Amino acid sequence: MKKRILLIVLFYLILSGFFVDTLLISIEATGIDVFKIITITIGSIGGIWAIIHHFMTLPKEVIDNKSIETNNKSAEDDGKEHENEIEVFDNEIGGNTIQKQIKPITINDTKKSKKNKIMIAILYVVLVVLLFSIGYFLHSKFSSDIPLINKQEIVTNKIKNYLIKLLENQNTINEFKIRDSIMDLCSSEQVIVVVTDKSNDTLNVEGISVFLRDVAMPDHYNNGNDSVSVVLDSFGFINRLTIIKKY
Amino acid sequence: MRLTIIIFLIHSVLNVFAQSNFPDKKTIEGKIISKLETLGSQISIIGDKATLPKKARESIDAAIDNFIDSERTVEVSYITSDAKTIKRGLREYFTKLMNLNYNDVTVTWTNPSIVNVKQDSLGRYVCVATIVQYFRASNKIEVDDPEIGLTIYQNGYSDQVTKLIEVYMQERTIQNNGETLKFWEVLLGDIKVLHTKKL
Repeated sequence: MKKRILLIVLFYLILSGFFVDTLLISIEATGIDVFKIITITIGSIGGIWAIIHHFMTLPKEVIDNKSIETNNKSAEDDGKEHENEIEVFDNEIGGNTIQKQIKPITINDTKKSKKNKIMIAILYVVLVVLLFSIGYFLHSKFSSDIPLINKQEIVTNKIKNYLIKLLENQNTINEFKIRDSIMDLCSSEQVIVVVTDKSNDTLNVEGISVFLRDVAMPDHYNNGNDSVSVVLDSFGFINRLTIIKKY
Repeated sequence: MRLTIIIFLIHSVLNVFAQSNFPDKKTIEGKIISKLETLGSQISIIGDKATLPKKARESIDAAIDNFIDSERTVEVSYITSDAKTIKRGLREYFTKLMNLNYNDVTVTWTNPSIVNVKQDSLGRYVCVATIVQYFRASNKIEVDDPEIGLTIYQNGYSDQVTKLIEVYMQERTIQNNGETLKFWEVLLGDIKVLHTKKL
């Protein structure tokens, strides 16, 4: 029976590993967003709850072999007792033909109970898979204006959108919020921004925070028509941003 | 002899542009004008009363970053005080501009132009640029008196100043992840008043 418990634990571990793996792949492809965070949270809570609930509700017999044997005996005894109870019941009614069928609890019932628990556990897993699927569906339905081509392109599109928003929100409180959002995409505050002309000659090099501060200035990203390219680190954060001026 | 001197002078001038992949004249002018436009925009933001205080303070830092060092000065003139000029430190000048006691302030820089580029003793390329600054400031106070009715009091100051700006161009090298990035950086020096005209 211990082997069986180990198998169940292994089953859950493989399943959770599969989920995490799938999630990591999808995060790598599309980036982290609110839907994914919700999905991860619900999925994790659901998974942990399923495992805890499964073991909390297992009958002691499943966990302890000795107690199973003892309980088997007691179940047989209980059967006898219940048969006696039927007799007593019949006597009390006074020879009435109505007979109550009280089945004795046998070893088969314990097995059925175990099967039920496993079935419930599988149902929980199905539920978790379903939650993941719903979350992923919602994610793809409502937040996939960026095509799933590759991370490089997605981050480039994100930064382009943010830079245009930053230009539109100059001298507002939103300007500072957008700057923070861009900084969140960067690996550190030491990220450099290289401004080049069409022939790839460097016009300017500066830190990301200074660039974002001066973004609306003529020698920066002032018109929003310039090309943007990014160099990512191994975690998918921006290591270097290049602005290619169109003029 | 005269021909030799002329050839030597022409050679020297051409040599200035040929050295150390110095960008062509059009590129230089483009970079300098872009820098002047940047400073003009920053001055406009600093002076504008609609600018958020946080943004104005940031713009002061950004404006100072355009100069070769923070010890540079800006000359200011007042048409009302016998066209006298006063030199102010960069931060002092920008802070005063931010805190001007007017309801509405507009500063506009126009007509940037560049006068001869030459190399100085430190190997930098220097030139003088000129810009025309339009400064308009006004106070508008509306008083609604039950006896007199609505009265608008307005006062202000406006002038047009032609300014001379020292410009330096120097090659800057930045090391990033083992890569060497070289570029020509335009930095500004002292700003002086050439002449002031009341508007």
